[in-house]
Amino acid sequence: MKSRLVVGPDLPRATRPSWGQVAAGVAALLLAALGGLVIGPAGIEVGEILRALADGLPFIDVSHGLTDTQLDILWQLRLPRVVLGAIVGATLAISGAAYQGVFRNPLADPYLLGVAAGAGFGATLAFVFAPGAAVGPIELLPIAAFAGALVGVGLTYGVGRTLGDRSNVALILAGVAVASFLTAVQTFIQQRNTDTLREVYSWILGSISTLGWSEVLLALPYAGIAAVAILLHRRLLDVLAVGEEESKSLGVSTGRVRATVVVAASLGTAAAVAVSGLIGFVGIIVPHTVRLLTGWSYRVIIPLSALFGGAFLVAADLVARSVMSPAELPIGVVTAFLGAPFFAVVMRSARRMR
Amino acid sequence: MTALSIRHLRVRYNGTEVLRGVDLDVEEGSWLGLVGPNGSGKTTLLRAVVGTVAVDGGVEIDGRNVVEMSSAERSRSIAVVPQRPNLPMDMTVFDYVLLGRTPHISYFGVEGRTDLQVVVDVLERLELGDLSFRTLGSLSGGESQLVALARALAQQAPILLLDEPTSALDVGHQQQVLELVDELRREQLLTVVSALHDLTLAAQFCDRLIMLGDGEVQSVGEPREVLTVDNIQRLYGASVRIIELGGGEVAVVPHRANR
Repeated sequence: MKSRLVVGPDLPRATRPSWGQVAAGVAALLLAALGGLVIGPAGIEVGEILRALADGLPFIDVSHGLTDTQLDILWQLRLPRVVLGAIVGATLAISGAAYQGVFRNPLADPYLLGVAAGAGFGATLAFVFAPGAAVGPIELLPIAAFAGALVGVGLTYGVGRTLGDRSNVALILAGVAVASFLTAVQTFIQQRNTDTLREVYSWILGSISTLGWSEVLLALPYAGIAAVAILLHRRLLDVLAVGEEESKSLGVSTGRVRATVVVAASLGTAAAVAVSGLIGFVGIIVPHTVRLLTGWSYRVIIPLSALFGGAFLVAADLVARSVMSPAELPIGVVTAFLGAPFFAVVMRSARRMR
Repeated sequence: MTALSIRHLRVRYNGTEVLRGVDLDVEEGSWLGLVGPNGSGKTTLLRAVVGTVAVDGGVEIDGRNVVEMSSAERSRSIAVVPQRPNLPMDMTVFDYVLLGRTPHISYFGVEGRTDLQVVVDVLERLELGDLSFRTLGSLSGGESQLVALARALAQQAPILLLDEPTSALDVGHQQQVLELVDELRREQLLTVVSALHDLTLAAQFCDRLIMLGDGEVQSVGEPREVLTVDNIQRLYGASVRIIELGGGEVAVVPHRANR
């Protein structure tokens, strides 16, 4: 048998996303963002918005017919909302992909692992007992959420292990138990502190409706660090696909990789939860759709999940504020409505994809 | 020269001692066979050498204790083909063999030209070029075994460990894989240590055999010295005949004594 592999200047490449895939992701994100900017109850004309956006770019001067109020709606309401949706969606999607990689478990997701419940628990404590508190210049809320997120994933991992070595079912059962427990404690604390009840509840249901640039600035550094750390580990996540023992025999310190990626993904989840409350299923729908379309490699799944996750959440937010306009649905309702059926489909195919 | 030496190696799993003080030396460029009944500690011994189980005692490569090496350094010295490798079914053969380059790539690094060239060369050498872009899920048992071997060769480690490399293969593929390993050993001066169930194949391919039983070395030497009717009766509880095939080769054949 003569083999036909080309030797010489045209070496095969290691897996990476194609330009077409990246372009599709960018296009989806831009399209969703544009939808988020032009659609809304104020009914500003699309052409005017495009001109005003172009005018906002540095060194470009375009005349437009927007009033100051309309400009405020565009720059202070719609744009930060779109940017925040993109950040939260991208972060939840790559965190989900990262958990799926380190736990080699297609069902892993910030919500099912108890990470988000932990973050919500931590954030509620901060909300109720130290509203508006800060450690020096840093606000307490995201830090409390991060601590809670680590407690959540730590408990899930610990309990799941005693149930039986990170098998798919054990880890998810543990996650469900931990999430329920933390949610119960959180609810108890809320009921004891009814003065903040309404505020906490609307935050828990998940919303990016009332947010502005300050929340963008709050989430961005944490989400950015998490994204960079996860992206840097994408090749090692591919190595983990051959399992713990074989990865070790290839010289990978699996414990260190797993711990670093889990901490990064939990940091990202905590940042997302701290600004937007609990928005479920993004971490499972987006990476799995990308995986179904592009294959197994985290070098492809993670960057594309960031783009499509951002696009998905911006679009979901658009749906949330359009279907009952001018009233708004919590965005978590929209993602769960789409995500829960999708999750059932993933469960069905989960046995195949080890 | 001694490529690999093991001193007073002890391994325990959950309080049970699986290896109880094993000593052995493997000459550079030679092929050592580990034989012994199920549960005698062959796989554990290989794991101890690779470093995937905690051990008491010393494992030395070229005179250096492995505890002084980083895990990547160790994986550049020792490559292993597991008994039942995990083969992610959607991964392509090329990407899978490329994983063998992991110990040569820095933590946040990516594969360079050398890594890709090494993989191309290994695939060519094992005549797997045509399979390069097939997925692992589509391979036959024989092809899977060769692909796992290719990944280990891509590590370019001087010591190659094989855990039952032929247990899932038919008699033709068994010979083909072992002949290939023997050719590679001579070409690249590899030191090979393999656990083998089939005693006849062990006798035909290995320079020396170590027979394990009860976590200890029971017998060591050239194949015909180790594979005696008495040893096999005592450790395996099997009744066999040893047949001389001429040219120093022997075959171990099961024999029904009470018929």
